[in-house]
Amino acid sequence: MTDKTVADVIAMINRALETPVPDLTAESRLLEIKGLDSLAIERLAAELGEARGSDINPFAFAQVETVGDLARLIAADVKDAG
Amino acid sequence: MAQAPRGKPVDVETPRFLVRSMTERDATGLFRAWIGNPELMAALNMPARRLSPNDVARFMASFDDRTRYLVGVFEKQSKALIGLFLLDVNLTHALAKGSGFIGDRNWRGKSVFEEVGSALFDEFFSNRGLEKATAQVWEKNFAALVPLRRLGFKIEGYLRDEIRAFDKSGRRSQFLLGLLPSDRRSFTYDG
Repeated sequence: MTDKTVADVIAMINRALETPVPDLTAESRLLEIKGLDSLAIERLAAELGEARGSDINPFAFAQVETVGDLARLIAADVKDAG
Repeated sequence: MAQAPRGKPVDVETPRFLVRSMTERDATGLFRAWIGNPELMAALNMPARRLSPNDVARFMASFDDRTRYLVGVFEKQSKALIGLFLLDVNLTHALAKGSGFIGDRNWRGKSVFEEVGSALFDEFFSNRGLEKATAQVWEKNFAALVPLRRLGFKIEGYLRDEIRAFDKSGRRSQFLLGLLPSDRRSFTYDG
């Protein structure tokens, strides 16, 4: 996982939110992000799927705790695809 | 054997909503439209059905507020029905299986599930002897998974091809989630 992957994930989260959260970090807990409601989660999942070119793994996504976990999930998927 | 008496109807209040057991009077055209909507009813793991006015009484009577609850979510100001929760309770094991949906699209994405779920589980764990709640959610229903995890539900299993899809597109896998009193997370609506 690189800093760029974390930055990309933070950018995706902020696009999914109606009101962006400026101080997100790899340690931010997804369930505690203000405004990350059911619709925002759907938008985020769709964007993650688009970015990867395939649906995200539901089992892995369901267990993500932090922004960093999500970045690691994407990084691992990219590595697997490569 | 005599039928067990009805239990005490649910009647709780949250900052934005009144959450109470549904009655025949609540079975408006909107309610009947929801019951006839396969996509919404899939969230309750129930088949969609067309209810005639006569059917409504039988349908409502099947919820006894003891082992089966059909709970409506009403917006406080307008008293409009915006969603439904269904709980099946196994009294022997003090275990409830819950499901629900927000039928009014205007209220989706506004943390209704967290606010109502928190109050509802408070009521069941504190006043109705519940010791565990479970929920089964389609693996790709992220919009339901996140609110449930916010309430403290933990993923306990993955049920492969558990149910038929409402749109006849095949079978769907589900997550099994569970909530113990010690798992619970409080949710406060802060606007």
